[in-house]
Amino acid sequence: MKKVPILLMLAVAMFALAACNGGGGGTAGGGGGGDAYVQPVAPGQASGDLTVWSFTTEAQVIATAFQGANPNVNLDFQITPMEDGMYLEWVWTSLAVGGNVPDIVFMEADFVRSFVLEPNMLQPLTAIMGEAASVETIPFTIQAGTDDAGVVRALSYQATPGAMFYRRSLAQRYFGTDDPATLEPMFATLDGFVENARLMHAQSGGSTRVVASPTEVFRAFLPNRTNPWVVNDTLTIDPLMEEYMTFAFNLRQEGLDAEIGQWDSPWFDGMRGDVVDAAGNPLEIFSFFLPTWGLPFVLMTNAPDTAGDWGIIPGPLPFQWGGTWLGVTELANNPENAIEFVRFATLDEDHLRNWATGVYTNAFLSNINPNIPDGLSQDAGDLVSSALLIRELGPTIAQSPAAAFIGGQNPYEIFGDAALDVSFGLQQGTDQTIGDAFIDAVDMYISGIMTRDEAIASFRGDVGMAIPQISVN
Amino acid sequence: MKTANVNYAQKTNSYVMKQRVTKGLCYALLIFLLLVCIVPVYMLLINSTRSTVQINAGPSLLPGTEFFTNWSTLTTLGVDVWLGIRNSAIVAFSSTFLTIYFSMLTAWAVVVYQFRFKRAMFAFIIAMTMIPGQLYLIGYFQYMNTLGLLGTFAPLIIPAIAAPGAVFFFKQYLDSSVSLELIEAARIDGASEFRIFNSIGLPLAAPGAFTMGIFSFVGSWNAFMGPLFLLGANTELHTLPILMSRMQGDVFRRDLGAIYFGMAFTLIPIIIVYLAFSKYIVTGISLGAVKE
Amino acid sequence: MNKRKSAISKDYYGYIFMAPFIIIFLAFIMIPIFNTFYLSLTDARIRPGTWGGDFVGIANFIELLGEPMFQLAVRNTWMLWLFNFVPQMILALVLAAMFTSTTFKLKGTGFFKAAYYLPNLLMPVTIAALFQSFLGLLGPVNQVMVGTLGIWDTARNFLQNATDVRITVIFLQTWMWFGQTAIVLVAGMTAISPSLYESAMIDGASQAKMFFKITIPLLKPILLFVLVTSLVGGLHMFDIPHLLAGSFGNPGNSVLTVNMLMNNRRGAPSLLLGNSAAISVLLFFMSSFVALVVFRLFRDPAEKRES
Repeated sequence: MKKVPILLMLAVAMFALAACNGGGGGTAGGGGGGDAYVQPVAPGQASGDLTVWSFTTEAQVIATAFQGANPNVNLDFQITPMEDGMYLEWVWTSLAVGGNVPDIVFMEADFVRSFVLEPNMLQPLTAIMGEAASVETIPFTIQAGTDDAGVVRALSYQATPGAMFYRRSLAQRYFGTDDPATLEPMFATLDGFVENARLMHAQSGGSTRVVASPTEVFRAFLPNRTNPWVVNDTLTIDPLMEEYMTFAFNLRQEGLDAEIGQWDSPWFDGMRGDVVDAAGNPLEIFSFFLPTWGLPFVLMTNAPDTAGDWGIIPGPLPFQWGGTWLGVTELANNPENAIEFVRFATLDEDHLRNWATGVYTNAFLSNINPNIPDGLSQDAGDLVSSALLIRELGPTIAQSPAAAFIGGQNPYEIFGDAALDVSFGLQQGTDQTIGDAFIDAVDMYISGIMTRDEAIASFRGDVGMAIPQISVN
Repeated sequence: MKTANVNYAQKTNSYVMKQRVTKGLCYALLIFLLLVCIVPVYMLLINSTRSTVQINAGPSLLPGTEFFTNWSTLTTLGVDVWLGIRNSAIVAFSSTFLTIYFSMLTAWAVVVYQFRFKRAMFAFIIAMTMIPGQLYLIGYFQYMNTLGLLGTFAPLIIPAIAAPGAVFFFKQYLDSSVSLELIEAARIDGASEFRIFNSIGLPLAAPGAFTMGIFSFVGSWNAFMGPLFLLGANTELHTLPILMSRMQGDVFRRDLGAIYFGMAFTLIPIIIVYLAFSKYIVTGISLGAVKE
Repeated sequence: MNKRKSAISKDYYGYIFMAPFIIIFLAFIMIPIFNTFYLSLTDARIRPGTWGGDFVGIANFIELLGEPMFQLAVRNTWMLWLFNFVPQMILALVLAAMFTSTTFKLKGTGFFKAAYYLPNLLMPVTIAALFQSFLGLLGPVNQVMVGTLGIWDTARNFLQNATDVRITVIFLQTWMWFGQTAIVLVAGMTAISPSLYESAMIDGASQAKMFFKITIPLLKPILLFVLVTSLVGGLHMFDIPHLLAGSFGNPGNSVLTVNMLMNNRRGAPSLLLGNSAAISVLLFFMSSFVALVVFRLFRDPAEKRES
């Protein structure tokens, strides 16, 4: 008896709401690649408000530098961690709800495609593309931000090709040389990689492992596929992914990896060379597969004492990893300021030069805004997205601590050439979820919990569960 | 005579022995559970005084020396912990107070008075505890945006007045402790209904109130997604868990010592609040004794 | 007229006392809840500048109920709840009986009670971080078992084994909540009049008999509260399995709960607001139905006559 009125109330209210909400939402302004696009304010002339949302403190350096160049701007900077999809949830929901919306969103390589391809999400950056041509912005960074109609909606300030970072002392011990030119051909193929991994394993009595986990090398497999993960809304497992499964399985079977996950704390210990296994025996990790930003942000930050003991070689497969893009939201309240912000961050020669050469010290930044955190700064060495500047700055970077850290190799030369060859064509907005599911499945397969077929079935199941829009059969 | 005495003594002895053994077993269980509960918390506090390298080297029972280093890492990352504590305290104390007072009032209404639709209303309240907070949060966020309340404490504090779970608790609690005769007697003495609630109801439910209050306080203090969404627009009002989450956000420089420090730092204020109030949980035995 | 004179006339205070709750509930909470129900009948997707979608009737529900992954999530959720609730309840009842026992008069009960609640003070993210590092391949548990004691030959990869992950989740849920449950039960037990026990003791009743004949029956309302809130909390389980086993609840979706499925559907890249709303509505009906059954079981005869 008592339940009836409640259900009735619910039902009545539900349909009342359905009626008034009917037809879904009237969407906000057109956008969608139309002819009219917003022009930025003149450099240095931004005034009024500007809201910037990001997931890294890196963005705060750029925001502060922008404030320095535009003293009249009232900049509101907000950071929400990427962890557990918090940033994405926060951005998507805020944009769906409207009201409190950012002018600028920062995007990661893993999801930049989903933002670029979403209707009514980002504004065209057409007005500033002329400048991109003059600073020779690296093609793949533009490719990542271009929608299907050829309109550019996101740009990046960095280019992020990857390489194999190895310990020179270990190379010296097992191969009698730490010279990158000699080592490069030894690790240039997957077979050579495995063969030399076995050699180190055998000579060290099992304590030296070639990588922390096969997942490191996974990133290098990805750009060399023929097909992306999703073709015609159907999950596709490229033959190279099958090959990766075999590679990972064999690596683990032979005990050639250290079974340490990326970003876990033992991973960082491995860089410092002070990791021990459960029984207390020391483990040494020969190499890490990292992109450009891995040098200043990961290696130099977490293993400062190993300076000089690192070398870079291309590794078995060319790859790219990560990178941060910026875009102006369609709902932006201050689009003119916002587009100038994107221009400044990604195309402004002076800014990019400062960014790459370590001008943005904490003292420099706190001079602009005294309220920034004490630790905020940008060290020299990040590879900028302008080929023009990469050529110009090469000699400067050769003298930087970053170059000294990798035994005098010049990261700008090595990565600058590699960046021109990178293609972003296979990356899709769903890559993060699908990649995570695949890594989970491969982990279960190589640790013997599942057979290969079970692992693939589990992978398909996970993708279908998380993204029902994709057909998995 | 003599034998009888011995028998009696033996009997008491064995009874006492049995009591002792049972008591000993009780203490053994209590101490075992104590360790299970305290060790992880202790490890957390210890780790907050150690460096990342030390933490990775293995567990330790003794504090490290990096307490101040971790503290300065935290502040170097721009986490204004005092602001966080202030904001968290405002939200947690006010929402707890509102939850307790108004939930008791609502439960009191259900237990003491007879009125039309009472059962339906109570059933409705119970039904509302079944709504998953997760999706409701998104709808709530959208609605608060419509009302223009985003970036204020209001969406976090005001709804504490309508806490279905707490009403349910107090209803059940009062059911077993309230005495209608006592209320009737107070009415005959000419007390107003509000006075009866404040002078009989509140003390009667006091142990329950402290119990529920701590649950509510902890829930509010540790809440993360709700405050993130509702306060996100206004960094000045960010609560401690939101500020601490920034530490995990900086994946490149994952400083475990500082992360543990942040976790410990969030924990310590509620431990203090909890210890201050926990002693009230145990009182009230005699207050509850009115129902026969 | 007649009514006003009797004490019953005060009953309109029921409305007054309930008013703040009802008003705030209607003004703040009701609308988003209805919105959820409405969204569950649409194909709404989270899109910039758009809230809502086209009406699709019960299509979301039909789709979900036929989906093996949804069924698996329901089974997992029940399993995880049941296996943590039963030991948690037994433990809490034993502890509450010990804490309130007048014959044992245990010392330091206040201290123990305070300590048992400690795990609940931690944020789920803290708990997950702590236990992830404890159970890691190179973590302390393996360090002790393989290194110090040498009991195991090789390190155990807890978080890659379905059974271990389930046990870890169940253990953590029990660990987090048994103290709180015990405290609630103690609060309920202290509300029972000691004179009942005194007269029973005079009649020579044993400790156990008093527990089952006096404590349990009089504790029924509080037991009902514990059961229903634990049920609701358990069916909405999210944080711990999500943080420990990732958004898929792997390995083998062994700890994928209904709420985790909902989170996957709502979050990027699928952003299926309508579908996820339907999941929470199903969850709502599931918990309500079970709660209703529990209420029926706990109802005493006096109340039955009333309705």
